[in-house]
Amino acid sequence: MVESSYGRLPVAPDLAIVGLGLLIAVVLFPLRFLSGQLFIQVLPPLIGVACLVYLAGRYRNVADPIGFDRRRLGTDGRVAAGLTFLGIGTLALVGATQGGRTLPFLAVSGLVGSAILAQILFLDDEALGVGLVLTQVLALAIVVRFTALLTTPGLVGVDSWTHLTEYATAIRAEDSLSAIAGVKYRTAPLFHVLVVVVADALGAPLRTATYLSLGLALPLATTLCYAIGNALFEERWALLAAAIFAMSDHVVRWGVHIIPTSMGLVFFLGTLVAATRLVNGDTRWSSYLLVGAFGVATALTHQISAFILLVVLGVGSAVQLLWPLLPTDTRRGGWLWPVFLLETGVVLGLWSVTPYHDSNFVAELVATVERTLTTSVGFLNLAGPDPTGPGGAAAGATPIGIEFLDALGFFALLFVVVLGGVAVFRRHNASPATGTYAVAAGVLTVFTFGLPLFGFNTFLPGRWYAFMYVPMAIVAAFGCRFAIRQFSPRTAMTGLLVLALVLPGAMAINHKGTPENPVFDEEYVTYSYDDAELAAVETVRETRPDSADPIYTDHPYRTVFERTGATPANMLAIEDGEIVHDTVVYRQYQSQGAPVVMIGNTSGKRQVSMNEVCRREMHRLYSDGEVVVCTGIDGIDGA
Amino acid sequence: MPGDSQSSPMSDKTVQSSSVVGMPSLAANGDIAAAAAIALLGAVVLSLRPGLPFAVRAAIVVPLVLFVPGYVIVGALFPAEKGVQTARMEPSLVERFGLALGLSIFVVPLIGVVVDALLSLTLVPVLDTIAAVTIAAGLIALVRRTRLPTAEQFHTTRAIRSAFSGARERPLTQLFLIGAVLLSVVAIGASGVVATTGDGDAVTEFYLTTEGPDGGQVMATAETIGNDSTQQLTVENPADPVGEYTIVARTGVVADGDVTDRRTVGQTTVTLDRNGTATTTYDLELDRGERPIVLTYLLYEDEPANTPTRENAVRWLRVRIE
Repeated sequence: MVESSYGRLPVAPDLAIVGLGLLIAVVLFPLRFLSGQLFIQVLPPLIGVACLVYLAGRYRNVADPIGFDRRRLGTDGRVAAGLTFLGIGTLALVGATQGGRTLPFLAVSGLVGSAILAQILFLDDEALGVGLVLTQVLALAIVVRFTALLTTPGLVGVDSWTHLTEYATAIRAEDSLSAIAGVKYRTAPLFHVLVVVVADALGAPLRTATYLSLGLALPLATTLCYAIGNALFEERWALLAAAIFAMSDHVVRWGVHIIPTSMGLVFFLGTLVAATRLVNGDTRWSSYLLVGAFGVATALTHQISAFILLVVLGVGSAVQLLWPLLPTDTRRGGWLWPVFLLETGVVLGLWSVTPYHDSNFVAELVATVERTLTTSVGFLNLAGPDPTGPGGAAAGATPIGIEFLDALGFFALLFVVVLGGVAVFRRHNASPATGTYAVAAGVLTVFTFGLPLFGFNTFLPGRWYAFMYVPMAIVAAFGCRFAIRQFSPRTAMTGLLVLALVLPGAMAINHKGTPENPVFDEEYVTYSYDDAELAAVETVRETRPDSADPIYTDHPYRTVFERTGATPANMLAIEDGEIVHDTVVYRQYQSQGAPVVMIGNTSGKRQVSMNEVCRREMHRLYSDGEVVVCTGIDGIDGA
Repeated sequence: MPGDSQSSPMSDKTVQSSSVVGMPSLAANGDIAAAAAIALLGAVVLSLRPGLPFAVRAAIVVPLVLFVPGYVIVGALFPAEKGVQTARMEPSLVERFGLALGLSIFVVPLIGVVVDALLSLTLVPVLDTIAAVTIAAGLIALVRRTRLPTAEQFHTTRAIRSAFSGARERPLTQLFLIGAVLLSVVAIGASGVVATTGDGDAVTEFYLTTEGPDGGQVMATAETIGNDSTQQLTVENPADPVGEYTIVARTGVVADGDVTDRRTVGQTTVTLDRNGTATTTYDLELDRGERPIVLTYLLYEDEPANTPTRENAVRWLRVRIE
């Protein structure tokens, strides 16, 4: 199709974007010879190939542009839905009998996810019931998350221990927010207050309250992703966006590691629903009120979530202001920039009174950014924290094959995102709202991958993924829509079938989505503990003198000792091949899993034996069959 | 055009009656009434704490916290039905659900923050305020709805009916679907019960403490273990109340990195109390003069082995004496 006019651009916008994508792919391609990092190896060719596929589709002579839509499978949607519901029930039983999200569970969940995506992609229009499919998506999301939550003793993750056993417990004990007056959550207390209120109303522990409130809210918030999609395109693609979002690894992650980031994600979705309504033309005060309310809610919940929201609202405002440059849909919706300015004011106001490291959050953030720019930043300076977080791809010598399998879901998603991100800018597709999601996906990708490439990790890129998945899911649905319309039914169906088969299973096995029981458990850190490990923490808490020196154990086990207030704890350190500490805590995981210890001056995963940690000349004072506490011999007189 | 499955064309009859604006009817506004009722029920029942079973409390608390306040606020903000020509920007049923969820988990803790600033963060004023906010938003929703022509007013029942339109076609497949959903719900419920009713893995803890600087028993540190020769041994297994265990104390001489001349120096049987805990003390009065020696405590369920070793004990501890 030849564009007759490109507005103020020399070429059609989608061609300009695809050119940029190819340029990025070509420029970044040589980096593979400088760094072995998986994402550097894979992303340039992936982006390049996706751009070429787009060009192939764009210039294909489409004899029957709605051929795919007109094909008839004749499958009854209710039969497909019924079978999938049976699969979901089976999945729950597998989880309960296996005692967690084991490999068979993840395999079944991948199959069920594929069945849902297949319904969305292939069912005839009349057979596709929005309510039925959305219910399946929500049911799968709930079963996946609650299998992890209910079969894991204690809490999943690291920060959850701080938020529940420290902050929320203190608030509940004092019946007052003054209990957290000295921490940064003083001005972002919504998570803790919600958990405490629910716990009091239920008369239950904070863990139960968290699971029954936010544990349910997180999967159900998928409906907000559907709502965004439904405002942008047909129900089928809105369902696809919602399903992709619900199955995504990092989205699952924040559904099982429930902290303010999780709650921020819900409010982020709410803000985007309201903002999309606004940009699409619903300029009533109620829409402005809605976007403002969710924006304030995000700011009152979590600083990073609020920052990400500011970035997306900023992107939306910029896209709206620049949109007239494009020869596309020029319908006027509500302006986002007043909302962006309001949210910026609220966030800056809150941060300026947020206590943080003996200063306020704004001052500390600026100082940290300055410090990072002067000390850590440099091209390909990947020595800082791995962008995927502790235990992530760069944490140790993880075989690249396993890394690739682990990230396969993301790569599959990114492929269709690139396709959709370019397709959004075709003249008849483009609108400020869709353009905003495409650009937002790109900008969030830069924050997540681009800045860490230069050693800039101040914005904690690992936290951005789940938020980035919102625009990515929307744009990916657009990519699938493009594929169906621009390729032959056979080609499109083959490609989408591969996507439907690969994406759910690949996302399910990603280590970020399975923090309590990663598939490759000798490569990626397990962020949960069994009964024996938790019993040891409790006994140490009860019997360790307040004045005692820190104990030494692996990461992340040490965080539970610290964050439950059991005792100060440091990471085991290997120096000159030996582990020499006064008091050590060994657990079997240190010999069988992926414990992180200090090796010289840096931390990394390394298995150690019990005799290395709990040396023969030490006292062995505690044992529960899995955990052993040992201490040095100094002080024994044997009298 | 983006749309939702509820957007069905209006009948002529409906259009004719669309200009009628009257008093709110319970049938048409049952959703608001139900929301207000749940909020009031929550405020009264949960404040009185009449010892309700957990499941009943959860059945009240979950909708109260996750849905009710937000639902009426969405109703107040968007009183019209989606799909009616004059109100095509109204949220769909799914969108209302999502927004209700998001607004509820914003409003409930926000109320908590305000109550904390005025009084203290206690349950009763928070629940009362949630009820008040819900009822106030419900009244606004009612007023705004009744100002609209009847056909444009949002009706939950109409929206749900529309979502399930076509359900009566092909009764066999419908029956299969219902059966599958029911089976799935039963399986999920049973799995939840299995996952939540287990006591977890039984853990037998065996540890040694000494008297610390403050007089309490502490897990010995380099500072405390040498200060007292009386060592307290504790066995804990909450899953095995009144269980019997035997502790065997053995010594051995450390020589050339190996332990030789092992001897049993004592044995005692302990019975766990109802909490699954038993303690015993061991006075360290060693008559053998060799140094360094190793004192090992071996724990057995019931009777010890004929030749006690670390390998046949269920747990073991070790103290080295220089």
